[in-house]
Amino acid sequence: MPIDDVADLIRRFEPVLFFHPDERFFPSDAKRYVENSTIWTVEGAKADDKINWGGSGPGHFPRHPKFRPPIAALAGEAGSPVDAALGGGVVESFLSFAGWDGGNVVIADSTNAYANLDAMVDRYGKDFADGLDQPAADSRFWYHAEVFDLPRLRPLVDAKADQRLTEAMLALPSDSALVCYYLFFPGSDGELEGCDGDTAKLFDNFAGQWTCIAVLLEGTTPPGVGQLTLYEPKWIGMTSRAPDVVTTPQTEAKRFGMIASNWSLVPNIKRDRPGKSQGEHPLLFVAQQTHGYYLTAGAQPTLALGPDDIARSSCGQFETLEDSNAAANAVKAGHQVQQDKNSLFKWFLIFGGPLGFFIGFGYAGGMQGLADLGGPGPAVAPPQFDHPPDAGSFGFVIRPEGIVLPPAQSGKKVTWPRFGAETVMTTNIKAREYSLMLGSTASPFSRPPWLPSDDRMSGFSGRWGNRVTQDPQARRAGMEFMDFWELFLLAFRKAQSMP
Amino acid sequence: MWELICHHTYKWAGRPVDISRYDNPAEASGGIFLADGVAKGSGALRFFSPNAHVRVYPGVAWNPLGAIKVELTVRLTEPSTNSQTLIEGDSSFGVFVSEEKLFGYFVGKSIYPGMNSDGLNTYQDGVAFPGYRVPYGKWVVLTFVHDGFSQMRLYADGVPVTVARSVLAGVPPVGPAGISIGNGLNGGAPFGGDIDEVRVWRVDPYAGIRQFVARPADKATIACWERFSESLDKAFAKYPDCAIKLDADFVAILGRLARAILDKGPETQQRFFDFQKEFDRLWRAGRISGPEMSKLFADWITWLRLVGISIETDPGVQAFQNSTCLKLLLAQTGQCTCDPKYNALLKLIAKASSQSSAHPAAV
Repeated sequence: MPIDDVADLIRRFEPVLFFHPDERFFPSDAKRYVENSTIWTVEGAKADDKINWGGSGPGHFPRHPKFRPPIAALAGEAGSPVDAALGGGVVESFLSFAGWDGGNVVIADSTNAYANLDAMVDRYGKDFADGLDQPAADSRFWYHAEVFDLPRLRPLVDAKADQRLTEAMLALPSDSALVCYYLFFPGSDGELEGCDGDTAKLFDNFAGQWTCIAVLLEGTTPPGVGQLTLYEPKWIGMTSRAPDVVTTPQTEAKRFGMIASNWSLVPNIKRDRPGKSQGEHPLLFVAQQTHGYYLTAGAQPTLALGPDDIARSSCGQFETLEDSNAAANAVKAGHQVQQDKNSLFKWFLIFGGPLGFFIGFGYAGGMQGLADLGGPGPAVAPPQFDHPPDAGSFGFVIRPEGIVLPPAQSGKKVTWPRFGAETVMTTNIKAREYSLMLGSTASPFSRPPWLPSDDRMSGFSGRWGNRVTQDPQARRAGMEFMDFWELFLLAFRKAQSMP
Repeated sequence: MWELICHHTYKWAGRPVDISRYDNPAEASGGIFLADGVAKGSGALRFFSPNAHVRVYPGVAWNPLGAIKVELTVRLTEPSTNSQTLIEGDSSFGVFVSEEKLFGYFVGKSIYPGMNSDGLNTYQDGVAFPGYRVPYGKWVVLTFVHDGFSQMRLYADGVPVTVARSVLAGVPPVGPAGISIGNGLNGGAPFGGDIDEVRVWRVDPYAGIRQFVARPADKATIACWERFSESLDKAFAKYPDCAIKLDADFVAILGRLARAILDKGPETQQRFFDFQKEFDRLWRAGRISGPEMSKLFADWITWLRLVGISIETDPGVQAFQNSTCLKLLLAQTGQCTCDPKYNALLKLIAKASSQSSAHPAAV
């Protein structure tokens, strides 16, 4: 049966989020962020080379953004359209809200190595009423939500032509619906634990982070004409760095993925809604800096490093060697003898002459990745943890209106925005419309032009934060808005098969 | 350093979902789903019909392999006079049962002249007489381990059921037909029982480069290796055939020398592992060119010569060093001389080598 009230479903499962007391960034309205950002284009293959950013003519500085604020994120609003054509030769675009560390210009001797997260914090504020940019500060504690019913999901799955997605899709009961809460953080701090130096401290820093909490609902429709479908939550998907997350090539650079948990394992709080199904609000703990969501408070182990995550395992050093290692591996394409992906390391030894063989024996890392000899194995990189708040030691706690939390779960309380009646999702500020729901009342399954359309053929599909230099893997570049529904289906599929 | 590259549980209605990070695509056909396997609700697939199988498609997880560990939780239920396949990797490796005897094999140079595969079983290579037999109607965990260089072995419920057999080659990558579980790649050899869980590991192919970069390095050192890497990229592009040849030759020589070392017996093996452990400690501490490293190599080279191994005079190493290809690439890149500590390491190894008093002996 069609979903009769998308807004009501969204309100019914709004999460309760517990933040760390030292957290600097909070979920904010992405539309207001984009309206106040510059839009830069990137031309050329090397996107972390500033000479390829913006305009000015080939090889000339300073580089200039394509559009400056105000940006029109909806048709009819003032400014340059967010989804305007970017011109031939553009391979991607990115937003810059607060510029780069060291300045907001791209000139010959600017470094542009990190997004200016400190300036962003100053503008948004870390506490109540301490933001220097009042509209930005007022845009905090916001989410964007949408619902996928199966008629919407099916063509998306078909277009991916991925048997794993098809498998998960076919396993969903016919009246399933997926409620996705997207939480946009203007910045994400990130450092490598157990490491010293700025390289490690800022290793995962970037502007413009999207995260997702997805609730899978199963519907039942009582017999009879005009009966409404009743939905019950069955699974939750959360982006994080938990050990068993599903990752995709798109998420691996930023080292996160999604994990699905059966709803029976989700701590939640009920809320009576007169004349409506009871609200069921998951209690989730948000990791400081990385903004991963967890079902329990306190430090959490994180997913094992990908074996090819070379820089992360060396406290951020030798990041550019990852590119060269890939090139060394490419040389071996078609090589029919036993392949060895330690190619780059091996070449360093080869050029050591006979002595290189001696050093080669020294590498307990499996004799160049070919064998396990039962020896000690190399020491591992410093362990990394995610840090949701400790139990009872919370910073901000964002919750739906009408929820009363026990004293032990209290912090600095804020509520998700309300604009009158519960199912009113939209408000107007200075002739611009802001909504918690991506779709409109008339077209609840649509998306606004500031996000990519379902088929990714229209809308803004650039990065939500600065491109930066010396970042070949895009670890510190802003995130693109991704197909979180896809991540959920993969996580759902994996969760069903876990021992 | 093992890396899990495939993990099936068949818990979700028998679907072959790979919960390793590679999430290898797979399809199941003809198997019968059992809700309860080795434990209640753990799920299993029964492979009875001639075409029942799970097919895993080849991908990056299966190339390279080198060393592998294959662990299967199984229950044999049907007697057969034919081979009963547990797993078969195209042109790579396999584990099967034949008349209750357990077999493991890999494709590659054999200790038997003229053969292009090598294996072991619980009949000829068993640790006791009569050798291990896969029991009927009982869940067991069967494991085949090939260490990539020196030996392979079979285990049942974690206990060795064969001797450790020498090998002359590593396990090659899986070919285009992929991996078949519960039946042979061509069908007709169903396991005749239930499989609850399959896990396959390979040796972590990135362990070496990760260890290489784990050394503390200042900006100048990092920039040095990055420049050298860039010059390598250019050299590869200019002489791709030479790059491929040198790559293969280096691996082959290193493998041969490593096998020679391990074949010298347990004392040499232990010294080898101790040498690696100490090298790793000093490397990670950045003490790569000091007196401790100097002593480490002096002792190691002396020991190698005592047991009759001389790297510098090895004909293969010398041929490699004098090869035209190496000279062509070196002419393109030059030696990497901008890392003083690394160069000091090379010098101290050379010194340790020249000071070793034992008589060299070719491997």
